[in-house]
Amino acid sequence: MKKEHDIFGNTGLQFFGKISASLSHELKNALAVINENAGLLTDLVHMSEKGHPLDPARIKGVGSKVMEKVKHADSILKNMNAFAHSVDIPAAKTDIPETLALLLALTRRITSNRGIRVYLDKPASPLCVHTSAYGLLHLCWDCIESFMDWVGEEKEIGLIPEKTEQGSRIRFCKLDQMPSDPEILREQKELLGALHAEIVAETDKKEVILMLPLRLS
Amino acid sequence: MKILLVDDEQELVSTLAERLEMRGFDAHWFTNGNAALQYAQKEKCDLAVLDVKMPKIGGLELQRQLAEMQPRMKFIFLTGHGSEEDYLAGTRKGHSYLIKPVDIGQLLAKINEFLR
Repeated sequence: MKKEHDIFGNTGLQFFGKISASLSHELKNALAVINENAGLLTDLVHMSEKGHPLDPARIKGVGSKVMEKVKHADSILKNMNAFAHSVDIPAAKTDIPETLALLLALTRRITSNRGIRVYLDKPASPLCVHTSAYGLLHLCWDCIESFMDWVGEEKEIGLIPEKTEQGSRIRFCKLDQMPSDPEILREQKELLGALHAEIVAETDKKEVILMLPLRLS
Repeated sequence: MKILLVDDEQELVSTLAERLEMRGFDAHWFTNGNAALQYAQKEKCDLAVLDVKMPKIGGLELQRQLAEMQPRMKFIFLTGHGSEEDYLAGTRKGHSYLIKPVDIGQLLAKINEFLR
């Protein structure tokens, strides 16, 4: 029970709220674009009724835009659904690169609003640990959120998941402005503990490494 | 009437501009605040329709800078959230808000209010 509280406690809810709010904003935008294009089609029909010729290519173009936006909205909803189900099981076999890919999709709007590109170096094969998918998403987001202050001129953060003898690790790279004595996730000690994770700053390499055990036990 | 439209969602702002032009307005659209500010330095505008949440320069800050340049310019904000906080912040300053997806009828009604 204590372990679940650590992962899904107050800050866990804040994370859920932040991601949900961002995704709802993205969906609103997609709906707004669909709404404008549907309105434009109606406008074009009204104009044709007044004698302006209706251009089939124009109609086709507007239709394609609507279909693209519906596709985009559908992918947002799929990610939202995967995120919502990440709380279903306290701990299970979790593919780290897949989880990170989901996190980047969920948070792309937030990071790009800061002008920052976060990319994932996806390994060729799956890299699984037994952990809380939601806890991992939350912890990795807290890392990205705090490391956004440390990006260099390229304004990029690279995520590199790798296998280790004890489990796995995620390298957060290109943190060119990282201070020489950084304080990392000071307020997330409980979450780190709940995931049995450790975090280490490699200041000379401008990287932070998050180490995860093979399984929570 | 010259209308400035600013929203980081290009497909939204360009389509909205096109629909306003169909109705006889001189609409100019931009996807970021800096481009809109550059345009407003050269061209006088009657009204600006601004998205509240945009990267770099948000709608409220953009409004402040545009109003400094052109004190007679009127403003309508677009918001995806319609949160009370944003709403109150805007209405206190006497601006209008519309919640996305935008109802063109409501937008035209607001524009006509300003025209009167």
